[in-house]
Amino acid sequence: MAAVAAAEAGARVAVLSKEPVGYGNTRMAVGLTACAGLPGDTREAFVEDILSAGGYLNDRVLVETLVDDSPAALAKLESFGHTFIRDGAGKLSPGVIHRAGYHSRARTLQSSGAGVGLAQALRAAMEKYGISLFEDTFVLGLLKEEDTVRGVHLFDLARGEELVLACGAAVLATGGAGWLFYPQTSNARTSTGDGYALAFNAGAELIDMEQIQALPFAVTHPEAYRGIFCGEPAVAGPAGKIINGRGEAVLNGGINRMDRASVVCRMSAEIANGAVAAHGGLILDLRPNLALEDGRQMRDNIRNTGIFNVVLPAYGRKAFNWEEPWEVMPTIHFFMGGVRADKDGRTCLPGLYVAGEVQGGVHGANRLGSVALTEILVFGLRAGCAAAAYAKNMPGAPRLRMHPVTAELFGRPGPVRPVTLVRQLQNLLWKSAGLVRNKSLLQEALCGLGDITDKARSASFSPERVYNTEILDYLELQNMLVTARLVLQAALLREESRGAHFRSDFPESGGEAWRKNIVLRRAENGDIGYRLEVSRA
Amino acid sequence: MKKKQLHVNRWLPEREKLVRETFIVPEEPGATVLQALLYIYEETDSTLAFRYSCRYLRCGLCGLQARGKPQLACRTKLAGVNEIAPLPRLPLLRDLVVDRAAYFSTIQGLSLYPVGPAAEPPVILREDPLHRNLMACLECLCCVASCPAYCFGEPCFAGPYLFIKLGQLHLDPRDMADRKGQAQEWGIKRCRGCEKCVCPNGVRLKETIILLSP
Ligand SMILES: Cc1cc2nc3c(=O)[nH]c(=O)nc-3n(C[C@H](O)[C@H](O)[C@H](O)COP(=O)(O)OP(=O)(O)OC[C@H]3O[C@@H](n4cnc5c(N)ncnc54)[C@H](O)[C@@H]3O)c2cc1C
Ligand code: FES
Repeated sequence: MAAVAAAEAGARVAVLSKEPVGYGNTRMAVGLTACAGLPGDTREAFVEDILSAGGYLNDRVLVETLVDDSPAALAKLESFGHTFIRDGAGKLSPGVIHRAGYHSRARTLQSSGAGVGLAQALRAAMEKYGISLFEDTFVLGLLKEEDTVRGVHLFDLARGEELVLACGAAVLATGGAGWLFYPQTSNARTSTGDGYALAFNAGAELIDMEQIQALPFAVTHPEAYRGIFCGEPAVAGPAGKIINGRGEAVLNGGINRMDRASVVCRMSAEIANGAVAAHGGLILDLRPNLALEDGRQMRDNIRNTGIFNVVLPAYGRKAFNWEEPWEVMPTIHFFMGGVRADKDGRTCLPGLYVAGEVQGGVHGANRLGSVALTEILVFGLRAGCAAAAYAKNMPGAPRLRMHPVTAELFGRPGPVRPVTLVRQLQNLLWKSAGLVRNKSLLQEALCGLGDITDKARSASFSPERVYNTEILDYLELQNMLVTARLVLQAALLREESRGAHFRSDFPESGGEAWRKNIVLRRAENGDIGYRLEVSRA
Repeated sequence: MKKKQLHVNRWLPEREKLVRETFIVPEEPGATVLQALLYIYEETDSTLAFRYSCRYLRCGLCGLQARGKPQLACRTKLAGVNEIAPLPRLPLLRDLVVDRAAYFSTIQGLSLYPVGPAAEPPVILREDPLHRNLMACLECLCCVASCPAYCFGEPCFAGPYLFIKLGQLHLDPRDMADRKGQAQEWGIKRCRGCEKCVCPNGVRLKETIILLSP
């Protein structure tokens, strides 16, 4: 969306993506998208829902902007060929406007073709606006002239070459970092937190990096599907139950009225106590819903969104029909925190803009379902527009220097392969910062990162230039290490439990005193500097 | 744990040929071909290049050839698969990785978006059920790889994928362009009576080809 808005504003635009354009988490989304202005809803209710779910760590201006701009942003997406599902008469009537989990009103639309439909429309827009695509192209760094971002340092995976691209402004839309927790994540393979690291390394501010949302329900086995999500609280219906490994009820009905963080918190405590089922998870029994009058209809409606498709290959037809219980485990889903920016995506670094999951501040400590897609549409358009206006006034031909990174890696022998280190990091993060955190775990994990950083210096690489996956792993690992450090540091600093952040050594909310954002920024010596700021909710 | 041999045909760009290599992979109950590839990648050979993203049927990046036809690695059970290869007929970067950018550059300039006055919700928009089905196209290019008439580099025939895109637009009330005309220019006649293309995600190829045919 940012590219489209920038092109409409008259800028020459290029989109760079380390995979083909139109993938990432957007493509995998269920496609549920919240929109303001639908019958029965009010601006105040929508804003309040996002703020209260977010534990009032959100930035109110961003929340209001999301709500206010949403109808126009969804309309814009439809103009590229996307379809929000209408009723038989082609209208947005109550039957097709859903009340997604924990929203107080119905305001969520379903996408034809789910996230893939959305991604197809966004790709079509690239052609419509004549936007240049650099696919399979990894952004290694932001390049500055004095204090201003004036270019990007690229690695062309298909050729194995590094390049510099000068620009008047850059918009980061690099998504989240759920892949730091693989396999316990719902996220795309590419969600390695590159944008957080790029922004941090360049000197931008980040907020709320400890706030990482898990969805309560993901399949636990077989291994091929471990961590893939199969539902949020709404999927449990009014009568679904969660049972522990000893057969005791953990949550007995009413789960569909709880928010994501509360269900996850309850499940995490039970899992930490060790009362688990065969594959380390808990049992979600949806059968009681089928005894309700409209139980089967409800199941079919939820199933039609595609949200628990993976249950069919993982657990079989009966489970897919809710006739057999599922073993489930929370899975890492969404980064509420991210690069701090205003409502036009403007960061504190001149020339650097952000939009989408890479931006922090919209969702506070916990995100409501179906608002992330609204976020990418609204803030993408705004950031693209602002970046184009800014870039217009920039003089041409900046002087940019880049230090080659990959040249010395090709063909270098060594004792360890990059993927091994990536898996070590993921394992470490899941154990220390996944569901339940405490001081000693977090401190140990920070030490563990140091160890991985050292080993990475002697990693081995094959010499092939074309699509060298080991080089890709290494480049991502470098960013994952930075993002992981930001997460652990912020999680250590927040000595309370709030939203998605649960500290077993500080299990209570810190109340008003902790209604603060943790703002991180690179210090002169490369360390992480921080300050606490009263939330702008 | 039970183990098996998996033969992987790898495209080597340096030698411009496919080379067959054999790996030993575990065969757990429910294992998929993608899981086997990840096992090889983590345990044996991290130079093996393949694309994937979602791990189950949400992205369309993991297409490959197994059991004689194009399939999605994340959906294909390892049991019964002894040999895999990259999607045939498509340009390749390395091993199992298709050069998607090269394929898509061949269908540039066809205005594959609704052409006409932009619509604003809540506008009346009636969606044809076939349109809904076509929007589920994962763009994995398995249909192109299974098309006997397709040959990369030959002008004005891009295989069934293009007809899915044109079908989406033909059925879209917001689009005013002549998509049937485009389908004709892009060789839909070749599809008559063929029906060899496959879609691993249930997109109705045959119906779309009939719809766009003169
Ligand atoms: C399974 C799933 C279902 C979801 N369902 C919904 C839903 O129904 N409704 C909802 O509101 N939200 C949903 N979400 C959340 C939502 O999809 C995401 O928050 C949103 O799509 C993020 O969009 P984005 O544009 O910020 O990032 P992404 O869509 O992830 O795109 C980021 C892109 O940046 C590229 N990139 C990253 N780093 C680099 C680099 N260094 N160089 C070059 N390119 C790079 C990536 O390759 C990727 O293509 C879901 C998320 C998941 C995982
Ligand atoms: S990995 Fe996404 S469809 Fe197979």
